[in-house]
Amino acid sequence: MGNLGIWIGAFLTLAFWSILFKENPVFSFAEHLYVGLAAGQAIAMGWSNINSLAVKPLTQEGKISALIPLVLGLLLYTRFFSGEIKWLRRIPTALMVGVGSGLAFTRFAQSDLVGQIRGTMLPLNDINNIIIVLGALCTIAYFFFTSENKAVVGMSRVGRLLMMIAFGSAFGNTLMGRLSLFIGRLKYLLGDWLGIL
Amino acid sequence: MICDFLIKNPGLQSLGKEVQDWTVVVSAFTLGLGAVSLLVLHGRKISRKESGWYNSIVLIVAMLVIAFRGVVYGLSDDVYLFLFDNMLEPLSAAVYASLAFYVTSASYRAFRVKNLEAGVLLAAGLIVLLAKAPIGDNISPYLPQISDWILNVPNVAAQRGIIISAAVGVMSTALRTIAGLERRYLGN
Amino acid sequence: MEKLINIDRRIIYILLTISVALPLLKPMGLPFGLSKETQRAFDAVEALKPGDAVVIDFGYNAGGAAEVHPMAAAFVAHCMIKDVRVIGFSLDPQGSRFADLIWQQWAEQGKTYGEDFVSLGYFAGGEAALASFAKDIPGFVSTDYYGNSTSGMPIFQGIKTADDIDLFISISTSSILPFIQYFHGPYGKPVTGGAIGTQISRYQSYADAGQLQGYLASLRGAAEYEKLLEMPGEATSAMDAQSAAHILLAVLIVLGNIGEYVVRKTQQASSEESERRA
Repeated sequence: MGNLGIWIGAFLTLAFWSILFKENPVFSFAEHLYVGLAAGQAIAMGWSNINSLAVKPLTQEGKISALIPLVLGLLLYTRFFSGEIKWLRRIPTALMVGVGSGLAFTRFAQSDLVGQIRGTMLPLNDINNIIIVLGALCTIAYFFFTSENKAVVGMSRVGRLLMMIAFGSAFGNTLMGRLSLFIGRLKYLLGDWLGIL
Repeated sequence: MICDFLIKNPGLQSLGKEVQDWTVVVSAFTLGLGAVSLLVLHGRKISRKESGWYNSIVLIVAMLVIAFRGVVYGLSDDVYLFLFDNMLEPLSAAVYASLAFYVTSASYRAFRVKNLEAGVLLAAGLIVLLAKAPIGDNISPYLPQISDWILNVPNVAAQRGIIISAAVGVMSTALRTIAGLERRYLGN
Repeated sequence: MEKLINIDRRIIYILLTISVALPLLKPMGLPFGLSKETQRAFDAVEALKPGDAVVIDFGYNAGGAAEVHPMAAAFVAHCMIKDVRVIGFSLDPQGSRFADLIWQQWAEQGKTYGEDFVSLGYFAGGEAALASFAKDIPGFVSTDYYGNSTSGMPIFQGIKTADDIDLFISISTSSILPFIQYFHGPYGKPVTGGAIGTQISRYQSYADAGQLQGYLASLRGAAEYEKLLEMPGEATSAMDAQSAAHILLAVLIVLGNIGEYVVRKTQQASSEESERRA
């Protein structure tokens, strides 16, 4: 069974990669299979969450408040109905967005705003620290100021140049990441499937 | 949520947790929304015998089989695990692995230096690219040092500015949403 | 020269495949150094004592597993060696299966499920789940990934909230920043993790600010961690192929730019020539 599974996996991998050369029916089959399996697996995981967090507390522990999220979750599916009940989907949507907004406001304030500003409060006794502090200010100037003032325009240009360096670094790291995914797949084909590694 | 964060009151904390738990359960229901949409879309395709309708059958059957096995028989079920390990995982990995081909081709074709900024980006990118692989350590001991400096100094400077600016943007959007000024999420 | 800037994409794909396959078939064993951030992440786990508790998010799917699964395996190995309790969950629907694969290996080596390791499965809701989980760790879910009741599990002894956890590790293909926002910010707990390539530049800023106790940078970071553990594995064996692919990419980019420059100069010269004649 294990061997059959590996042959299936290898076939599907190559089927998907066939798009690199030309659109073809084998690729379409693999693509549709992937979408179907991913959606079905998500249902299975979603159910395990609902069961663990709401159904079991309701049925086994008598937690009546677990009914509320169950009803709200089902209301999401009213979007597939036409007519007067379709608007009910907005209630659970509003809950999720409201909670998300409240959490985002406080957490981003603490970690991204205050945390990063605190991290930028560096002693200016080292050239690297000077570059970091001034560079951060210049980058912020690029985003916040649209003034024609020469000093601000100059700061924005420096900020832009620093961002180019940052994006270059991100580019190099991104390429590394993407290539590692391919290496993993090739190891599977050469090692697990063909057994030549 | 804001009061839950700022005010340390047991009753408020408990209410906050309850609402967070509700959000988790409601979020779990959203995983089925995509599946239902797919069912509707591909069901229509099959009934009208549109081009490629046989692939739609594959999609729906695959979705229903793995969902059924996972929900009814549990996540340790043999069939569920077989489908996950030998079909979903290789396909998922192949999708993301194909990005390597695209980034290689795109980098070669599109990454052309036309001005100073592009040149700076290219130089930083190439240094980091070479330094991140063991070959970089073997080309020159300075390459990893320069790459580390790029990552730790100018990159941090720029990222600080980007992160702080983005945080202000996120906070203002969150406040606008809470104040009811932003209602696009409702479909308005 | 025009051919240099117009190499067929299929030839590039074939070159990439060959450049990666050859070092896999014939490894060179190129040595590599250690980065400061990998050392910091290692030190964060090394500082733990037997019986301490660690929370790990296996927040990745099959698509990104090739890059981050070796990191997860290395972190769990280190925790198991240190006799540290590992509480695992996943913010990605597919992640718990990979946690399962790692756990199966340690179960064969005498570790006990429910005492040394627990997999709580997938948490929907992202940040809301983390916020709620931080307030009540044993009670957040009533059953684990395998359907066992979490009530009374020995691994949760002495653990109620995030305050009782000694280290948080996030291995994610989306973002490990929620761990900083929900465990380091409000509770002051140390956070480390694994970063995919696209996120490294951003995470460096958090590591520099002390909000992250180091991180593993993509497959290279996992290889460095394996080196520190003296347990070479999946990541280490991929490093030669990584080198070859990087060299190919760098050569293609440089060749493309050289070709573009020469072609542009030639075109400039010929247009100047025709203007002079006119």
